[in-house]
Amino acid sequence: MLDVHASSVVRAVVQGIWLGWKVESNWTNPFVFLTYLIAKPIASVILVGLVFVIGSSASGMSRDDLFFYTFTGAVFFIYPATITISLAYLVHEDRAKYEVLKHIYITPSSLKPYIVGRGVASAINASVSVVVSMLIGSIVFSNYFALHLPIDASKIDYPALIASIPLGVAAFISLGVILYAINLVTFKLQYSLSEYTTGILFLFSGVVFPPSMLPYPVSLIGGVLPTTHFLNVVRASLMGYNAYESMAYLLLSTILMIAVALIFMNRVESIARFKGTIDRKAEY
Amino acid sequence: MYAVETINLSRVFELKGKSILALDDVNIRISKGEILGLLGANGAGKTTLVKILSTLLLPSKGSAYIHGYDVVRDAKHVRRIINLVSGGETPGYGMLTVRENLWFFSQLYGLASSLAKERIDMLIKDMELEQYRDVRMHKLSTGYKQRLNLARGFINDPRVLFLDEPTLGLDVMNARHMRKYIRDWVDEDSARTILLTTHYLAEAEEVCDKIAIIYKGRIVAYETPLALKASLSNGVSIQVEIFSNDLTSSSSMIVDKISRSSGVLACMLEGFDGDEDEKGKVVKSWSNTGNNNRHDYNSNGDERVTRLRIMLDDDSKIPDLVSMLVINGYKVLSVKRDQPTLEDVYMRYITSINE
Repeated sequence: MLDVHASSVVRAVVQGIWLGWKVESNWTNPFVFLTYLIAKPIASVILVGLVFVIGSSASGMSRDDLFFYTFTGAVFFIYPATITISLAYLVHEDRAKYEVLKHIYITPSSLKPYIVGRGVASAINASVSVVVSMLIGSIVFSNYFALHLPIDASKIDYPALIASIPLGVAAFISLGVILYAINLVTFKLQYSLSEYTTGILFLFSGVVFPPSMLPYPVSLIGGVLPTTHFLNVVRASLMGYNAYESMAYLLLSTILMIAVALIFMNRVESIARFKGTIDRKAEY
Repeated sequence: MYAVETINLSRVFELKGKSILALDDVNIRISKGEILGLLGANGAGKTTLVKILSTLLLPSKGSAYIHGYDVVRDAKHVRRIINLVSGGETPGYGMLTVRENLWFFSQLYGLASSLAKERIDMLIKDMELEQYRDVRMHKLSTGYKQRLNLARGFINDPRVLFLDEPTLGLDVMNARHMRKYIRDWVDEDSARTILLTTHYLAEAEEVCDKIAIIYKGRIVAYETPLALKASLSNGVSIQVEIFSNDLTSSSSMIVDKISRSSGVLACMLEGFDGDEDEKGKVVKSWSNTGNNNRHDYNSNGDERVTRLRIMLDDDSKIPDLVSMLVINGYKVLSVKRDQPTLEDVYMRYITSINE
């Protein structure tokens, strides 16, 4: 019985990834999808870069390391933004649009492995966007704005950089699971919830400015967010600095986030089953 | 051990400060290899019961077991052996093909790849979906989407299948195909069991081994179709065809008048599918299996014909009934004595409860 269950869990995760990819990519022809996949993140990254350019020229400053901070923050923030938004919106899609939520729920593997799979699919999409944004963004800003990323390929701490991605993704999927759970028992938050969440992460996690610039004690909020530590590890490893301390914090915050997500999801599933919201469609 | 067993199962919904009793001490036992038809009007509690049994909803009181597993405590075990098909829904991903949709669900049930492929091919053939195998779901007609929905329900070869109004919205041919398939499916393997909810009486009579009538959350009758009909042996069932030139006379007025007559146990319009209003009063409605020419017109086009099904306690009351209709301005076109049907049973039970 345990083998059967383990098999259905693994298959559910794989199917979540496969379905996520299909849902994300199958709505149009490959060329349009590729353009969308690349154009959207590049547009946001360049926007952040331009804000930096305008801001720094107004203040008379233009420092490559500050640009590096802002640029990498904006690029790697694609991971939490993509994953949390897609998982928060997933409930609405599966419950009302595709009418599959209850049928997934009553399978032996139920919801969690499927959600993880969908989160991993989003992470794969985000990875493509991150790589493309890093390459194109650095070329654009280097050639047109004389802003250079102080990254030396030979100094990058590749093990730390590579390890930070799955750890960060695990934390962001866990955060997405929490948003998914909230949407499972509510009906009108699918858009606003993910927007508020990514807004909070953007503000407190040191995406475009260090959290220490925020007034005390608000600045402490960033310390408990895995996004902060994820970005710290990424930046440190790209510069070849020691990333162990940030990595330890990332690991701890990821474990904490996974534990919270599991407890929260289990509790909310019981509430949803009691209230009968798993298959209830919005009344609008 | 029963395939499905409920013990004093109750469910209360809180809605805007009001408590609504959706299920009230429901006790059913379905043996393996059996199809139980759960008959009831809209809002009677059919879907609530199915939701609890399929682990989508928690009961407020009582317990329910699927093959001995508690639906609350052992939900994981229950989910391995059940599946659910809801009529009127077309669950699935529009951008996936028929085959891909079935593959997705086969994997959620943990089916090995070779077994999944084999079963998908078989179901595609059984549901006559071969030519749509690689067609995206959003391009299918409603009938074929429903067939895909039904195929999904069989993907894990469940021991207990819940069919919640599976023929809702289907045309006659698709509904017939579906009914035949589910009957054959249970007959093939005595370990398979189906709980089918419907408000189509003819469907329940055709497919089910036993029938439970649910009314306002309570099981009010639970027998084989034959035994239920036999329970009416002390009554007489007749079909009456009348017409009236009075165009202001509604069908409900006729039914009301007849229902209040002496010796009339129950009265309904032919093709009644068992809907009730908020007060539990029988109201008229037409099933997809019935004749939908409720308000026929004769060759002149101005006379109104109504067909009624009436239960009398004694056939000596027929002349009195005809006289009453004539006195009230109706012309009696025909009176035909008939065998009791499930419609009569349903009508009798509901009427007696309301009395």
